[in-house]
Amino acid sequence: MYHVLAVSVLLRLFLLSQEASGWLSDRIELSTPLNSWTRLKEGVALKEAGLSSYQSDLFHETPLVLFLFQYLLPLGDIINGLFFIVADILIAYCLAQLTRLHHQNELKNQEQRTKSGGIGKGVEPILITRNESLPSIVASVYLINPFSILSCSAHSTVCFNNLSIVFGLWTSLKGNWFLCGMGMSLAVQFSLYPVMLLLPLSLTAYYSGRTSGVLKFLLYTVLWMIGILCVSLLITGGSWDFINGVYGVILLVPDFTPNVGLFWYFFMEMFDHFQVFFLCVFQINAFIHAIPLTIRFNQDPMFLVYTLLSLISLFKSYPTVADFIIPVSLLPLWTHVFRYMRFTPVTIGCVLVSSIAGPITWYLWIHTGSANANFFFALTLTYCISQIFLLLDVCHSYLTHQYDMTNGLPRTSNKLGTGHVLLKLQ
Amino acid sequence: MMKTQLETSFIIILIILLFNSSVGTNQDYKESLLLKLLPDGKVLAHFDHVITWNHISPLDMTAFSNVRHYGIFPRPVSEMISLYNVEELYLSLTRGKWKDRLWGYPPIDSPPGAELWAWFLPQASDVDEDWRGLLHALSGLLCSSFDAIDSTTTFIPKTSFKPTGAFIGNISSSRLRYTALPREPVCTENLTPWSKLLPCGQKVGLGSLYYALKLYDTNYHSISLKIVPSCQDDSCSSVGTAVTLSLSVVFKLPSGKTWSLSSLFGRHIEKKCPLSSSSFIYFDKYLHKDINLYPEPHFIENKQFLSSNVELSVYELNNLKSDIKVSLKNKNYSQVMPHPPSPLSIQRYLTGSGHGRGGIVTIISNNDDESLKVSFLDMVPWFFRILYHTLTCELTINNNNNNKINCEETNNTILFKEFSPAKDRVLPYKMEYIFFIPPHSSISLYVEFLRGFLKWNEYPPDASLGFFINSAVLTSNVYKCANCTVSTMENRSSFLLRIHSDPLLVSLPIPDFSMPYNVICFVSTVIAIGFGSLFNLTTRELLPVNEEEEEKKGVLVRIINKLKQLFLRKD
Repeated sequence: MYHVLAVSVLLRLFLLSQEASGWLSDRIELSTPLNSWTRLKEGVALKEAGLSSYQSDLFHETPLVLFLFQYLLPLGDIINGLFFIVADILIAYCLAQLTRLHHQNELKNQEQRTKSGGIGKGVEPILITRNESLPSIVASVYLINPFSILSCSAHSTVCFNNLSIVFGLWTSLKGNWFLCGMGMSLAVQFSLYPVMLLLPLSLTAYYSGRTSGVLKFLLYTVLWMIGILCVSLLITGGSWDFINGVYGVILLVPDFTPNVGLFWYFFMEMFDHFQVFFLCVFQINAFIHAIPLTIRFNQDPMFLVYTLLSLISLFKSYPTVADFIIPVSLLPLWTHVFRYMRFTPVTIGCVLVSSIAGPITWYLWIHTGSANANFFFALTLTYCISQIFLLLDVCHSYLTHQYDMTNGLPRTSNKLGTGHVLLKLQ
Repeated sequence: MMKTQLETSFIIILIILLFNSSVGTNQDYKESLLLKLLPDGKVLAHFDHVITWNHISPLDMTAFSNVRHYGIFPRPVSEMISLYNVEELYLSLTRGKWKDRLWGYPPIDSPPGAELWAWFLPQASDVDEDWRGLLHALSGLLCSSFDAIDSTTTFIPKTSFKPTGAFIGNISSSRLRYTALPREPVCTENLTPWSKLLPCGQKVGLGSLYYALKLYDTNYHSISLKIVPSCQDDSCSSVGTAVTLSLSVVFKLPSGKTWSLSSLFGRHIEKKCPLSSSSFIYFDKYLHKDINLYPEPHFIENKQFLSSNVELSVYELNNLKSDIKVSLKNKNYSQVMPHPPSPLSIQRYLTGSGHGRGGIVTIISNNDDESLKVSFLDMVPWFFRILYHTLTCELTINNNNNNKINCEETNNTILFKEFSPAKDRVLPYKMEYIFFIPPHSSISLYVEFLRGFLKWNEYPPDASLGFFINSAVLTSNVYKCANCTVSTMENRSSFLLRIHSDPLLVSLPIPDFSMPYNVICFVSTVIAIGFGSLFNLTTRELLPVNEEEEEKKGVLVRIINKLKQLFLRKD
């Protein structure tokens, strides 16, 4: 574990020494109008100049980040770079801790199920096995991921969003609802979409403390949100401009700066009279899946968290590749379902193609002018498709695994013995 | 019946004529043409038409509404300024680039395209509404595209503009509106309605020289309209209105050693405009001393202009019997002394490549021997996202590149600074400075910008051409100006020098305009794949495939299933 940590930190330090934040921070895959380092510096500079940062439509950070960097920025590039590296290590730490707790819980649940006879016969090959190195695998997947290394070097503030999410998840597994409320409310105020995570965390709270647990969690979250809102208002000096400057932008998508998501080109090319309709459709689509998925995966809140994080990364209005890293890092939690996955080569191929050809087509479009926007757009679609494939594949594998766990192996349901199971209407 | 009608109309005409003459005592019209040989042999012709109306001024809101007879005063102008509460207005429509370094300063400096600013009366209740009305009126009056101007291209400068005529109330910039259209094409459709405002039109007088074919076959062409409430005496006890219509044109090098007025303009002046009280042609030989004029000038006038004295050869249009001929003894312009360096100059260029991050460099140089206080106004459309934190200002003293210091570190270089950030689709960026520049020094401003991405219908039809960034405006009060063009209409002791930088043409990344439907289809497909599959996952249960049921199905289904089994992985 420690050599992975060392290598990842060294890589980040190397990029820091190359002053990579300068040329990486304008990369649209790594930072969006909401979390770009350039825009953050602009907001702080405007604030220093005695103007309101939200007066400019360049700045869409939350007041908390603005406040933080008002004091951090003057300390110089190196301190700021180290700050982002520390944030990344903290994310990895939280991920490792939550993996440890989740793995323990899983094993405990499996044991209980075995004892109570809730599982089928012959399922030994697909049982969850104790894996002491799982936390370090999860942390390594995060730390050594090129997406997270680049995102960290680009100083994209999306890492604070990720940190608060994983912190919330970890503390929820620990049962510390006060801190979990803090993590969740921070995540919500950073990017709004994590509000969906309140559903799985409420489920976790319900399983640990029944209704009172849920109430406790929600109460803490609401209190933290009010607290954060008050602090934000204190920072902005009582001005509500940031509501429109941050959440208005997230919801109304006025800035068509390209990113790896689905919104920008769609709304850039959209006819005026359908704009509002499609905006509603897209935003509802981003949120609505939380309800059926919660109903479906209500037994396993952590898996629900994975699906929701994937959906946020896929359907949010200004996604970066860093949003995709958290669900990917969580994947090793379900190594026991990997054997059921069917599209792995396709998914990996899509991710590779889009992450290699994406920057190339961007370069051709923006810098040399020899390709037009469609090439880059096609690759963002590929990236989104790969995320959908991954999510569906994992969900399907998870369900098949559950089916086999209940019904036992080998499957005896049909004469051929091929044992296909299909999704069928109930 | 017919006879009475004729009689009444005759009487009406008589009454109108009588009234006209009584109005005429209050009105005055002067016209002049200044011809100047430029150092590189090109010829500048600058026309001034000044219509004044005593005792009736825009400052009095009701003055124009009580007027029934306009005389020689252009009625559309007076209606426009009284309807929209305009106090002072300046407008220019320009094609081509004035070369400061080669030609000295122009009589009226105008940026390429259109420029307009107006002061509104303090009584105006809604300045923005008046401004919108004025823009529509002007675009109709001069066939220009001012009506395309909205809040994203309107500026409220604080320091660069001051009323030039009489004014009432405090000078508050909230009454001022400024706009410029760098990509406005200027041509005959603007010249024709503009020249209709002249009392004699293009029929007689100096206006008869306005032959569009020749005027637009030139290096530089600019028409302007200025309306100011003018003081009639030094104490400004009585205020009138002055409308100045000016036209500047720089002709290409006339071929041969001899050229004449009619060969330049393609027309000749038949006679003086009978409505004008004075009508002169001035000839500024300036640096070309060995020039012969035929016929001999009627008199030589010494004009006091700032600290310098300019000798002008003058022709009175009334007594001009023949075409003015100019012959040069020597056509070798390289021997002509160049202009002295301009006291103040501004240069602007873009940095960066492709459609990534770009930068704008502005260099303001004071080449004078004295320090200058200059106002700098920079305006950028919202989709060039100016990054304030990259803004740097450097002062180069004595034009020595080793002697660069940050403006902020010097005591009194920046006297005033204001930056207003943009609001998407609402407000543009505006940057204003007042600099105090030591002699022979220059200030370079550098700022970076990110290119914005617009919606497909926000791009103009020729999106690949790019977008213009307005010319920056530099304003300073100078007391001596070696290379200013002399003003024939007024004597001045100080001179408000206003110069413009070149507009910048910046390209923006463009989407593919041809495929909105495709984009909608593709994105919707991806959304549908995600939605559909998740819908399936969440609404269906895993159940074993019932093979017996399969066999009951038809032959075709079985064949398809067999085929499927061939291709599906067996595990």
